[in-house]
Amino acid sequence: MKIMSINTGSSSLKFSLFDMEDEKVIISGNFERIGIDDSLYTIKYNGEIISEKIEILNHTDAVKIMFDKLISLSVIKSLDEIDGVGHRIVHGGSKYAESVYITDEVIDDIYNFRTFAPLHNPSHVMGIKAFLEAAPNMAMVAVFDTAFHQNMDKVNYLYPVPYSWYTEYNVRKYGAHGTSHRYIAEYVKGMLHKDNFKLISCHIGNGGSICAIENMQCVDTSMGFTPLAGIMMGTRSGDIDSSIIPYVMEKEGKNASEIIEDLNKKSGLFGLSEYSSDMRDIVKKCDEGDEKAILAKNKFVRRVVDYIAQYHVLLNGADVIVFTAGIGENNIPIRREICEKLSCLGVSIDLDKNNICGDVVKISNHDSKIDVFVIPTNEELMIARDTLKIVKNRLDANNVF
Amino acid sequence: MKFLCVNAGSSSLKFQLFDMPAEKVIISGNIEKIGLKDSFWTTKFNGEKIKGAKYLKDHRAAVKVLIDELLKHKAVTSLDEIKGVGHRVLHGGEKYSDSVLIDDKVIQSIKDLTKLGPLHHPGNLAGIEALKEVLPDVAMVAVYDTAFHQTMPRENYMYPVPNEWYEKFGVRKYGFHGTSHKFITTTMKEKLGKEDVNLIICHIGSGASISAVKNGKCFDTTMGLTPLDGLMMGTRSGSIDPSIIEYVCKESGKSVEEITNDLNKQSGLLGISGYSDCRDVEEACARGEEKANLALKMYHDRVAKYIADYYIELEGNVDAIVFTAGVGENGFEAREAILSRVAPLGIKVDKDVNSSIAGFKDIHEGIITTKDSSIAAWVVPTNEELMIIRDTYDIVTKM
Repeated sequence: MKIMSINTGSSSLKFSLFDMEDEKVIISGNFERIGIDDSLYTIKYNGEIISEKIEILNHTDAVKIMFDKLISLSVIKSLDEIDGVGHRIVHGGSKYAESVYITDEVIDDIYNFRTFAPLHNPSHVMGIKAFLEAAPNMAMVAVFDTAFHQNMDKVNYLYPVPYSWYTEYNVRKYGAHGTSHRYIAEYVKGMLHKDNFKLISCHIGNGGSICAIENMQCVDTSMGFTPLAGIMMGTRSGDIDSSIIPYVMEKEGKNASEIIEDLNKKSGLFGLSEYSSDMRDIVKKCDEGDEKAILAKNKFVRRVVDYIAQYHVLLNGADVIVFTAGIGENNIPIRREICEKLSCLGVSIDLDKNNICGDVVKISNHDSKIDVFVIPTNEELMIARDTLKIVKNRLDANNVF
Repeated sequence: MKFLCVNAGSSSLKFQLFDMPAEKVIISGNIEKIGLKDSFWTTKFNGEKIKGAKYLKDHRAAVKVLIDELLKHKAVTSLDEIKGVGHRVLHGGEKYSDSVLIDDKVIQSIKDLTKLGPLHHPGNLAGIEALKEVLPDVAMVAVYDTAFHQTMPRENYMYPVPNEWYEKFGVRKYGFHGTSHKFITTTMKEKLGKEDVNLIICHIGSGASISAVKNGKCFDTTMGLTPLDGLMMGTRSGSIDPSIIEYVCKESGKSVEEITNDLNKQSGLLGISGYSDCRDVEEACARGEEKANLALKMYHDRVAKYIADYYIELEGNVDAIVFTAGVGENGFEAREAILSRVAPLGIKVDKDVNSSIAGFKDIHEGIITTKDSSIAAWVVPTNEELMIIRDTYDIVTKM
């Protein structure tokens, strides 16, 4: 069966088409600058990259162009060959604890949850509607970034703020990157042939979150009400003293939204280094002895280690730590520094194995008290798997009657 | 030699007169509601509590009461007996990493630092100026709540925000309760018989902060630019997703100041359970109130999380975890809950010993972990006033 995984942004649409027999990507691509000048698409197929600048007026246009390409490249003969489309949805509020078949109600909900994810959820709705127009009979599934974290206990998802903020305004921890953390948990389950392990999943890329997982369920996670909370990131501050907001507002004559924007886009690695939000650049600068870059890197490492320490205690002792996403999969020195700081928890890593990137590797030594792995994440595949499962269940149910 | 400790707030003034170097309190008192019609005071002398009330227009009027009380009870026969006054000052900014003799420059700097301590510095200054008027020739010392934390390394005091916020506006972690953390550090140096102590000090009361002390110096602490940061407290939220401020502003129609005020005064234990005092929450929990149970768990978890953070920051080399202040000294249930949460670090609480130590019991301090615990946890009562007077005494006697 063929399943498509979709990630729609305000002016972009990414797709991957999977053959679910072997879970391999048949074709993938990216439409960019949709509705803006110089729109273009890039498609990867059979090891080749096809790129074309073409007018793409809206998301429906993008979907139509994509379908045309699939047929003209003979990937499929007709749209019927696509058994389902899974959409990545950033926010599912408190309502969706797992992936669901997309109905009108689901679309309305996604749109209504835009208060929590004003940049993402409206774009996701555009993506879904574009598919509805281009292929009205296609089975579609919504896979929520927040769903995995819905299992958290109240102790972990509530903030110590007036209780009415929770009951009236839904202020609570929702978390993010749930699809990635779930993929990692599933992967570890496959590796260890058991599901009763305690895992700290470190999804650290330009955005980053850490998740404490026990018995395949999320216990706690570092992102919060929004993705601004938790560890320090490329351009996000993560946790800070909230009083900084009114304080800097007064000093700079800005409003709260502008300060929050600064905390999201001008802080983190970029804010401290005043150079780059990309850890690769920061590491290079550190090697040149740049003090601000060293400060930014050290602070970053410290915040990650802080959360690992907290979750180790919260889980009553972790069995496994996994590094994933951009920095987690590829940044050798950062992984090494994090693990070195964890040595007082009995973590020890093999520096040669830590030098391997781009593959699943156990980087901890045999005598390490906690096993440490690098596992490349695959959110697209997780979306496709969920979609396949839901589509199959519906087919089976229909066949019964 | 007699030394006076003064803690002047916006509408209150607390004082203690010490006999030094014996470190004995001769008389103490608390003058409240200064500037309000129903001002009153309570003085403690010779085990007695004496109350008084009269409209006190300002700090000058309050200081007059203070002096009257000292003379009336013959705590001093003449004001000449007072050899020094130690003032608690909230914020020393980046300039003061230790207590300092007050001169015009110091007064100016306290004025300048009002931007970082807007609620406290006007009261602190009013106290200093009123005391200077009645004791013009007595040496006065400023003891800063932030000073002890000035030894933090840059990577611990910097926030990952635009660098210019630090350079232009002084946005960084300053930390508070420094006088208490310093007192505990000094006490633990004596108890452990060494200078280079590594400690995790949990000053947990209505306000709460934890410090990591490395080689006898502050290495990290949980409060930040302001006391709102870090742990969940009686009425303060501690660290939360900063986006919540903007969101609740929009949803509730309140201003950022109002929301920040809510985070300081309507949050923490109070926000979740309806009670701000840990004892009340514990009682409500015993009655089966679900939100009280929730609030306590959240409170304990946050303390445990920071202990874990600081355990790693100190690379596992921790000589002692110390509990102090209201909850730390008296809340044995809280201490047990917190320590059992950090059991994965090899810490083992001795439940019997732990429950025998509290300010209202016969034993006030001691070790509350078992012999095979990886780290010893202690209960040590804090004494900020004594720390203020020790610093004042040191500075004055070396003049």
